[in-house]
Amino acid sequence: MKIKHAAIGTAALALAGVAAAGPALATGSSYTVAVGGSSAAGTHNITAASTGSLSFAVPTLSMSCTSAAVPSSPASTVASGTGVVDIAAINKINFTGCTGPGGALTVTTSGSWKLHGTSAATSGSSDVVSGHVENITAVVSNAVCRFTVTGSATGSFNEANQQLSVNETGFTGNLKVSNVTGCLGQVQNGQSANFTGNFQVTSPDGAINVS
Amino acid sequence: MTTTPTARWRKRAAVAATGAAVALVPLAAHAATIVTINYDAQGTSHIAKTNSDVALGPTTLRTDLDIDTGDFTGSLPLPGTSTEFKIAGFLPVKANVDFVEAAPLTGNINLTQTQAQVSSTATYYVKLSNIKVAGFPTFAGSKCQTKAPVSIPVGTRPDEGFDLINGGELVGTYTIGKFENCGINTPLINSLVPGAGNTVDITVTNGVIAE
Repeated sequence: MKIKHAAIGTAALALAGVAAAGPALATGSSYTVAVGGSSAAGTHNITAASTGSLSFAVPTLSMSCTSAAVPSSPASTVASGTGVVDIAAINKINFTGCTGPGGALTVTTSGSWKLHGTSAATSGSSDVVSGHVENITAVVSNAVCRFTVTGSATGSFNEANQQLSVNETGFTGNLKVSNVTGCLGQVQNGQSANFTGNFQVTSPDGAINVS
Repeated sequence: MTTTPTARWRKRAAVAATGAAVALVPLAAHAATIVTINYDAQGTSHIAKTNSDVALGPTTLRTDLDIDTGDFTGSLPLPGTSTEFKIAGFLPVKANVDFVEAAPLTGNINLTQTQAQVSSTATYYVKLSNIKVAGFPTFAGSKCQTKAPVSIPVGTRPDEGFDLINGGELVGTYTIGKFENCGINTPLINSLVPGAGNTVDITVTNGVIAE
């Protein structure tokens, strides 16, 4: 029974471990968000595709993925309206071609990642709004290693080219490692993590503008 | 009933696979979790003193990997082979060669920042039989082998990594000690074969995790 409970518990922790391990960084400014020129309150489906490879790391290991995409299903959305804090809700990212020391890795995201802004924005269409992606949960695994990364990542949204850049570097502690199993002793619970990548956001309802 | 670490791992994996669809290979958080990986292996060894090559394999490399530490034990059974060289540059000698495992293979997989590096040691008695000089059989008995086991250290090259599934190339240099129980051929064999600077090059591919 202990074996069974432990194994099931591992799966549950991988999905639920964020609450215990995630940094308490959940702030963002309030914006007026327009999609396709309309700031009427609503949600608008988006997809996204990486514009290059993505990198992630813990202090002891470097890993990368050749590409990543936010699929159309489950739907991810941008919120339009006034007083918007959660600018975007990213509900799935499919990572492909992920490798680390020792070979292929699988990266699986869960939960709803939220895009928050923190910098000033104008009504123009060329702002680069700084902020962070919050509520990140990703499980990294292969045959001999499994760990969960949770927390937030520094990022920005460029209105001009509709690109979301995630640039969490320097092992700040915004992203943390938890639920480590195996990994040949080279990944530790509590380690900080980095994550960088650029996404081209596609909004069928029109360009996203934050002010 | 007692179970081996591998058996315990299999139980965990079977239970976890049911409940944790997100994992490539579900893992449970226990110490000394062993994952068995079997690889195809094939290579050659160059015997320095006779300037001859000995085929190694094809065979199966079994590794029982402690995914918490990277330490492994295993086996690399080598099928019998043969070698051919010349005494004094013109007198042909042929012999069957057997590598008789003297101890389990031991080693470690170390994850560096960007690579998995393998170091291991295989230990065999090197056994000669059916020795023919200039085509004529010579009596060497059935126990003509090295007095002491030959320790063969192999590992990844410093600038090359090892893929836990796709494998890699393992190389090493070893010394063959004196032979015994070769009848009247013992002095001849000991003047021709033992020595340092022998090399081994094994290509490991197609890792399969034992279920």
